[in-house]
Amino acid sequence: MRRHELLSSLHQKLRPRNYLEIGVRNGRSLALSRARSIGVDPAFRLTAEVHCDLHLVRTTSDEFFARRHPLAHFDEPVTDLAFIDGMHLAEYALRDFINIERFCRPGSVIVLDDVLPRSVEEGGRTRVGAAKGGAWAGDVYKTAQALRDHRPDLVVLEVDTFPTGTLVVLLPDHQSRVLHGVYDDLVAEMVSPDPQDVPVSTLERTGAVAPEVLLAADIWDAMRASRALPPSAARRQLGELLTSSGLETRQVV
Amino acid sequence: MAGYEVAVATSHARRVGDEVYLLLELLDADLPTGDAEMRLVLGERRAKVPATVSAPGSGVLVACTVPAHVRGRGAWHLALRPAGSTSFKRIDARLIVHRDQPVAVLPGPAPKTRLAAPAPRVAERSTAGAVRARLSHAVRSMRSKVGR
Repeated sequence: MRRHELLSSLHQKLRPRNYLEIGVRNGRSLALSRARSIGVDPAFRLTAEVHCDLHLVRTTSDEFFARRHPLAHFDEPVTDLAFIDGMHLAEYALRDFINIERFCRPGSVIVLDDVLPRSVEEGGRTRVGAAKGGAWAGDVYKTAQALRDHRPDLVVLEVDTFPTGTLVVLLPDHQSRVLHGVYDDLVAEMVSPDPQDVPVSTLERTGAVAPEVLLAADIWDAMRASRALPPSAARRQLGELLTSSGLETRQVV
Repeated sequence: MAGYEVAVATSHARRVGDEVYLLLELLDADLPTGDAEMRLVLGERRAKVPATVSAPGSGVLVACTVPAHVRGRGAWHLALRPAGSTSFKRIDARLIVHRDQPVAVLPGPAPKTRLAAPAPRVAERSTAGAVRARLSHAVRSMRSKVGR
């Protein structure tokens, strides 16, 4: 399954009230949204037709989140579904995650692109693979490990999509400051010269969930329904549901 | 005048205590190594801090420590005055230091954002809802006047 098919299916399953996208480019993924949406990209060049109530912002995501009310386009400063596909470097993706999680509720879903490079070259911090006509995933894969290491409360699922894998993160906590606190230490580790030491499990996708399995999981109705609950009740209910879903046990941690 | 171009993959910023450590790799820059000065500008606010220029490999590295008072909502624009120079030259990178989000250095030209950031939407309220709200306010006001 291609990543846009997964994203499209997530829109259908979640029926989000709104959608936030970091890294718009030509608008192909933004075109999947029918909800009120915000797209952020310093250099978007839309070629796709878009069918939603859209706030398209020409800026970097860090500058966007430095605004006083970044999600002003939404009815409330909460996002149900967010897709991070900006700069393909670990520290940028991690910052986007940290900044977005502040605006999440337990039933929100954060999706990151390009977490499963197929070669060490594709997972490098420089665009060597892209320069040769291939894809460039960058070292965004490091973000998944950082989330697992520091946020065991999150459900972090690598999904085996084509071409370069997708990360689906469930059960975000808008009150958590853990990642913000460890970010500076993580940056010192993440910014390292190529070639990167890409784990074999990442290259071979041994821990990745099949997208069909994720989409067939009996969780989506409850995630939608949790929007009406107070965050603490939603967290408790969804936590139990996700534990019993067996999705996480497929991951190599 | 073109600014110093900054490498994305090697440049970074991170908090160290109350300060921010900033390391930039400048591309195609021919600079004298040694002491230099970094200027940061955010609107009317300005700061100058000592910087160090080194050339350990093929690139030129500029490092500096930004003090705690350099923070705020928005992106600080950077400029460098190398050793022996009397003027600052723009660096094509910006720095974000805000308490609510991770510190970030953003190589590349500033984006051409045209629209001002919108204000939050005022929750649209039905006519009936507006009437209920006014009645409720009137009742509360009346009760407070009669001391209940």
